[in-house]
Order: sequence, then structure tokens, then C-alpha cells
Amino acid sequence: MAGNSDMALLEVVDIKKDFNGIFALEKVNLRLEAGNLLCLLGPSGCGKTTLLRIIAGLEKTDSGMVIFDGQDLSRMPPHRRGFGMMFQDFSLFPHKNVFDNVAFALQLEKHSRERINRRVKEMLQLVGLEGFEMRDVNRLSGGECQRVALARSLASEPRLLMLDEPLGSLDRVLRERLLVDLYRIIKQVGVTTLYVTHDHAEAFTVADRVAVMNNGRVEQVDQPETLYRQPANELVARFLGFHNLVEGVVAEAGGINSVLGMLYPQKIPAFPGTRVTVLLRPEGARIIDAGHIADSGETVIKGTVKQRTFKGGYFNLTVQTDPGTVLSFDFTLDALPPAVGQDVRLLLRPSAMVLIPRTE
Amino acid sequence: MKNISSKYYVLLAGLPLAYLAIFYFYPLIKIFTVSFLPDEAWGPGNLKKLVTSGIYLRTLWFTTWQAVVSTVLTLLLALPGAYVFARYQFRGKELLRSFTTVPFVLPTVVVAAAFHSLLGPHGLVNAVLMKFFNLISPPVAVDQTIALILIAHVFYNYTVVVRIVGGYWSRLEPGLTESAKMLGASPAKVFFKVTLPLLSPAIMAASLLVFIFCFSSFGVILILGGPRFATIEVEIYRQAIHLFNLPMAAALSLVQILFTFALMWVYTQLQRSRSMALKPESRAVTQKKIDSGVDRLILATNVGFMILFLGLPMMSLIIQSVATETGVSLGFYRALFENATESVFFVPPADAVFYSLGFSLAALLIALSLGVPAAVFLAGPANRLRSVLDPLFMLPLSTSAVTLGFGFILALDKPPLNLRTSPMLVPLAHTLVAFPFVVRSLLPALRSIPPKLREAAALLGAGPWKVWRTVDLPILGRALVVGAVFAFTISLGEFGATVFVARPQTPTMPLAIYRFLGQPGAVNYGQAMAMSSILMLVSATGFMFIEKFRVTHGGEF
Repeated sequence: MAGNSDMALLEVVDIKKDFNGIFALEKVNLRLEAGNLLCLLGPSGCGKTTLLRIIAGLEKTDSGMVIFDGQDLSRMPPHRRGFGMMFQDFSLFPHKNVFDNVAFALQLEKHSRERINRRVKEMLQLVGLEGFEMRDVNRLSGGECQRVALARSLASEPRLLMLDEPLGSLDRVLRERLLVDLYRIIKQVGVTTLYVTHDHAEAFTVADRVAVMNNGRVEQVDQPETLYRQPANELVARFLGFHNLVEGVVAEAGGINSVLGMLYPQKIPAFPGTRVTVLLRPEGARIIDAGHIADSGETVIKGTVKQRTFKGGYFNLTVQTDPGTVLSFDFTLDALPPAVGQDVRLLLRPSAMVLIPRTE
Repeated sequence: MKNISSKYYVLLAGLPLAYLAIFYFYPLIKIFTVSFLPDEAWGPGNLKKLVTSGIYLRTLWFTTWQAVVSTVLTLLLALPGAYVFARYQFRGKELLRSFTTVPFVLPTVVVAAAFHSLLGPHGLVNAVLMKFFNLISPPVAVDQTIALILIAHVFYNYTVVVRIVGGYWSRLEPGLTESAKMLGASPAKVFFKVTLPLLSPAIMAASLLVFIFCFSSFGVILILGGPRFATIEVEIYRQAIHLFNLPMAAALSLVQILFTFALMWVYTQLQRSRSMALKPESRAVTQKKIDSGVDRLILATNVGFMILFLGLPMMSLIIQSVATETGVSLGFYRALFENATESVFFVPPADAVFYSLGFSLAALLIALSLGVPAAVFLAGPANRLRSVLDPLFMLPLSTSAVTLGFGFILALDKPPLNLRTSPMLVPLAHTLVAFPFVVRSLLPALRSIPPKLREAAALLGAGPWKVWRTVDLPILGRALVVGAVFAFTISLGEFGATVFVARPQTPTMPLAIYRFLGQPGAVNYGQAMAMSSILMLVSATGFMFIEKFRVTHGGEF
């Protein structure tokens, strides 16, 4: 790699794009280091696919630039960029067999027949499709198509691999299995990768870092654990599947004054009067009996069980707290949680309460 | 249940089969017997003479190579147009699409007259050039040359390629070309390695169709080529009408039938595999807005070409029809309504308009009532009977109009079927030509109906007839209208068969034009222009009207 160490391999600088006056991307900035996998995560219509297509060169920007390995790509057509891209519906060439699909880029590069044969074989081995060379691509299963598409985009050793919802058109069971394979293959090859998905579980499994996008903007870029532990704002929190969000104000005496009563998270900002949102993690609650007397620093909330759902590995309780807020918590199978209609008192772990800056 | 429905299906095929037996196969058998048994005795002499004679080999050779060149030229000129229609969104696109189809629905006689009016010795181009450069003789001398024939064939068939290839192209998934780009293929490589191979079934189908049309070209060659050029069709006509050598004409017809049937068989095979391989994509996905200079250039070039190349001949026809010696006037049109004593007609030429309309309406009704059951039958699950009947129903299309007309006069002018004096002879012949188009318009729509939809309706308790009425018919509505337009316009402009079967007292418009063009004098020429203009406007507005109707009343399927 040519650049120095603090330079990213791919840099997206101030990219703007609108379609007929509607913003698809609003000043997007991103960095991706060599060998890393960055996930673009967001709901459909958030602009993640548009961003991917701009980086690929399939779509033009209104302003801003894409820099790769220190070079501005604005004037470089997609076929010279040396990027691999896998489309959601795989777009395998229906008039070519598996071999010719995988060999397509290699044949364009005019390698020797021997080398092409070797490379295709290698690629098919990598994706677990040995011996599929002569198969008709129109007769492959969805999972096989996905793997052929992956082999095809990796065959000519792309400088950057782009995957647009690579599991989007497959059914759920297949998805989970193929995700693990996909991750293994990408890491084995060591290719720098951009991965677009709307599924946060998928993003957490594969990503080194995740960029959460919404409405054409990047809301947060972080490692999966950081993202999960400390969402940058309510929007990100909600998108990651957190629903227990409570508004509050930092009190004089320490603690957060909220509709649930006083909350005592691990970290409390120094300035009383600061308005914050508190995220209560679903796994951070413990049921305590009526006789328990709370310590001064303990957070205890009360409510009525509205719903009890057995989720397989745990129970989920929907609890209506006194003032009318509905929260959702998960409990281990050690004891049977209270039934619907019963009152409960919950002790919240300080580390399971996360402060999020309030979005106005 | 299965048996009952398959019995229904066979019944459906019965009516069209009976019609074909009487009005198609019986005349063909007549042609066959006349060519082999000229004197009521077995003698392959005529065929032998045909194969060994230089004239006929030359005719066959000319027929073939002009069709090949016409097809290649049409492809080269129309493929960019197909691209424009497949991939761009622009204002007036539907109108332009209809406009490009107008030449195709024009009668061959009108096309010939139009090119005469544009590029002939007294044509618009020559008139302008002579005036502009002060020339004594017309500088453009393409009349009665192969060039004019080829240009007219491209003009005529341009839309065939645009529609078939363009339609297929618009349904190609854009991800395929984008994938190729991402894998390092330059735009040229993308086209030759991905787009072109994927389009090849559509290109093959369009080429075959254009080739068949040009191979059986009659009116264009007869009028624009003059005595020097003869396709098999023209030669049949000359042998039968001018030389009255019926056995020889019959032998030539046999050759024509063999060739075109083989081509048509290949075409139907292609059609079948094509409609199965189609993966429909919505138009929004495949079409883009004009957003770069290159896009604008491609669009402007193609639209300009379409308007000039397709529009000029039609425009010059109208200009010539009102350009009298005394300046712009409707003199030629007025002359059409006068029955001058020296006229070549027994009736006012204006009556030809009404005869034409009547014949066409009759042909439309017969063609629809035969075409609908035939198409419904063919759309059923593939079996041996269908794979035989599919090309069989297409046979009239692959049999040239001239052969059909010739067969009619051989077969239907003596008992048991003496229709020589019947006015029905013309619509009966036109139906044969129109029927395959009706079937071909309906079949893709019928095949596009998912079997699940039918099964769902059946599970909900609908009988076969009700299923057809509630599921198939609404989807078919649009295709039915298209089939009706085809039948009507084809009948209106039909020339090759009509020239054999129409009675002198009830001429059709194309016949009137042909007779006018064959007469000397500015007034006759002008009347040909006027009559052609009327026929052109009638076919074009009829077609445009129903195209519009079709768009507003049928959704995309």
C-alpha cells in the first residue's frame, strides 16, 4: 500500500447526491482502512446503496469526491477502478456457465488459459463449489448463485470488494449459514470490503466497523461493540433495536430525574440540568421481591406485567410502569417471571443504563 | 377434469383448422397438383425445368441476397433505435414509438408510392436539386435500382427490430451490464460480451421476421424495381397473370412455400424459447433519464434519424398529392371522385375506399373469431398436437400473399367451391393473412398468465369457461385490441393476394394506386399520390387511435 499509516485506503469526502431535489446523500464522509470491513447499515432508502454505487462509479455525485489509495476517482470509469461488486440479485450472466462467469474478469485481463483455469478452480474451492465449472447458472440454487457471484467478484483480486445486501434475496435459514461462510471467505482473502445491509445482526457479525446511515446521512461510525454499548443518538439506538428510551434531566444530587423516578447510571454528566435520554438495556434488569429496600444509589422501578413471551433462550416481559411508559426486558430461564397482570419491581444495573445526548 | 379440459381445447382448434383446410390447404393442394400434373398426368417436368433453368435460379438468388442485405441494413440502423427505446425515458416517447410503427402498417403499395414520390425521377429530392442547382436532368437516379428497394425494405421493417429487440432489451436486468463493468469490461466489451449475447434471441427473431418479409417482398419490388428485378413472388405474378403459365407459377409457388415454411418453423421455435427465458423487470428499473452529453447525443441522433428517414417519404407523398401544375390544390383528390370515360376503372376510385373498409371489417371479424380459439388452444401446456399446430397456424403467414391469391384463383373458381363472383373472396383471402398476426398478438399475453392464477380461480370454484372469462379475458383485452388492429390494417393494405382475387368492379385502395401508378401522365401520378395519402392517413390514424386506446385501457403485465 502506497499511503502512510494514518491514511485510509478509501476516503469518501463530502459526497452529495440528490434525485430530483430529494436528498439521497447529504455530505457523507467515510474512511476505510486497508484490510478492514466496513458495514453500511441503515433502513431501506437511507442512501447506502446509492453511496455504494457512487464509490463503484455506477452513479455520479453532485459534489464531493471518492479517494482511493490517494487517487481521486471522479474521472475514472467503473471498469478501470478494479473494484469487485456483488449485487443483491447476484446478476450472474445467464448465457455463461459457472466457469465463464467466474473467469469473466480474468479473460478480460487476458491471462493465459492455464492461469485462468487455475484461478477459477481456486476460487470455486474457496467458496466450496469444486466441480461446478460446467454447471448452468440458471439451474443453481440461491445459495450457490451467491457463492458463484462471490467467486466471480473475487477472481481478479479486486482492490476493494463491495457487497450490496449479499444475503438479501435468500431465505432466513440459508442466510445465517451463508453469513458465516461469507465472513470466513472475506477474512481468508483479506480483501478490503464495503458491505451494505439493513440487518444489524448481520452487520455485527461481519463488520470491523459499522457506519449507521439514515436519510442520506452517516449518524455514527464505530466498532460493533462500541456502537451497541454507546449509540450516538436515539435514532441509532432505535435502529439497533433498543426501545427502552427514557428522557430525563441530570439532578443536583447526582442521578437522573425521569418519569420512572431517579435513575443512577454508571456515568453521570457533571452539569446538573443537562437534558439527556437514558437507554435501558433489555438484559440489565433483575426482579426483586416486594420486601427489598433499595439503597440510596440503586435504581428501582415499578410496573405491571403486560405481556410475557417465551423466546427460547430467555423470557421477555413487557412492563407498564406507573406513569404509563412501556418497557421491555429480558430475563434468564432460572426462575419463572411473574405472570401477566402482576406488579413487579425491577432493579436496574448501573452499567445497563446508557446516557445518550438528546436529539432536539 | 383434465380430460374434459383437453377435449375443450381440441374443440377450440377445430374451427380455425376447418377454415385453413378449405381456404388454405385446398388451394395449396391445387397449386401442388397443377405444378405436378399440368395435363392431368403425372409429370415432374415443371419442377425439373425450374431447377435447371437459369432464370429461376437467378430469381431465387436475387430473392435471397436482397433479403439478406435488407435484413443486415435494417438491423444496423434499427439497433441504436431499439437501445434508445429500451433504456431512455424522454418526453414524447410513446408518440415516437407509434410513429416508427406507422411505416410497418402502411400497405406495400403506399410505401412504394412514397419512395417514388421522394426519390423517383419526378420525386421531391430531384425536383429540389434540379431547381437549386439548375440541372436539366434529375441527378438522383435510384428509381428501378436495387438501392431504392433496399431503402424501402429498411423503412418498412425498422420498427420490427425496434419493437422486438427494444422490448426485450428493456427487460434485461441492468445489474448484468453493471456487473460486467465492475469486472473490468469497457463499454464496448460490455456490449459485445454481455448485452449482445443476451439480446441474441430477440435479434435472431427480429432478423428472421425481417428476412421473411423481404424474401416475400412483392409490391415494393414490382413497383420500385421495374422489369429488371424479380423476387420469386414477382415472378409468380408475371408467370400467372402476364404469361398465363399456370403450371410454372405453381411450381414457383411450391419453392416459395418450402423456403418460407422452413424459416417460419425456426422462428416459432425461437419464439417459444424466448418467452420462457424472459424475466420481466419493471420499466422504472431499466430506464434512465437523460443526464449526460453522450445520452443527449445518442437520443438526438436516433430521434433525428427516425423522423427524417421514416417521416420524409410519408411527407413527400402528401406534398406530391397536392402539388399540381397550378400550384397547391386538391385537384388530384377531386379527380378521384370523377368517373372520366377514359378512366381505367368501371367505378369512381373513391368507391375503392368504401370497398376497402368493408372488406377489412369483414376480415377483422373472421380473423378474430378464428384467432381467439386458436391462440387459447396453443397457449395450453405443450404437447405433440400443439407443437404440430403451432407452426401449422403460422403457415399462412409464411406462405406469401401472392401464393395465397394464386391458390384462390386456382381452387375457388370452379365447383365445389365456386366463389369467383362472390365479394367474400377478398376478405376470405385477407383473413388468411391476418389470422396468424391475431394469434401471434394473443399468444404472448396468454402465455404470460401465470398458471397459478388459473389454478387459484379453479380452486375457488370457477369452471373452465368462467376461468377464461374472469382471468384470461381481462389480461387478454389489450392483446385482443392489438390483434384487431393488425387484422384491420393488414387487410386494408393487402396487395399481393388482392391483385389476384379482387374483381374489377370492386377494387381496393392498393389496387387503385397500383393501376394509377402504371398509367402515364401527371394526373394519374397525382391521383396515385392522392389515393396513397388517403390510405396512409386511414391506416395511420386507425393504428394511432387504437394504440392510444390500448395504452389507456390496459395496464402493464
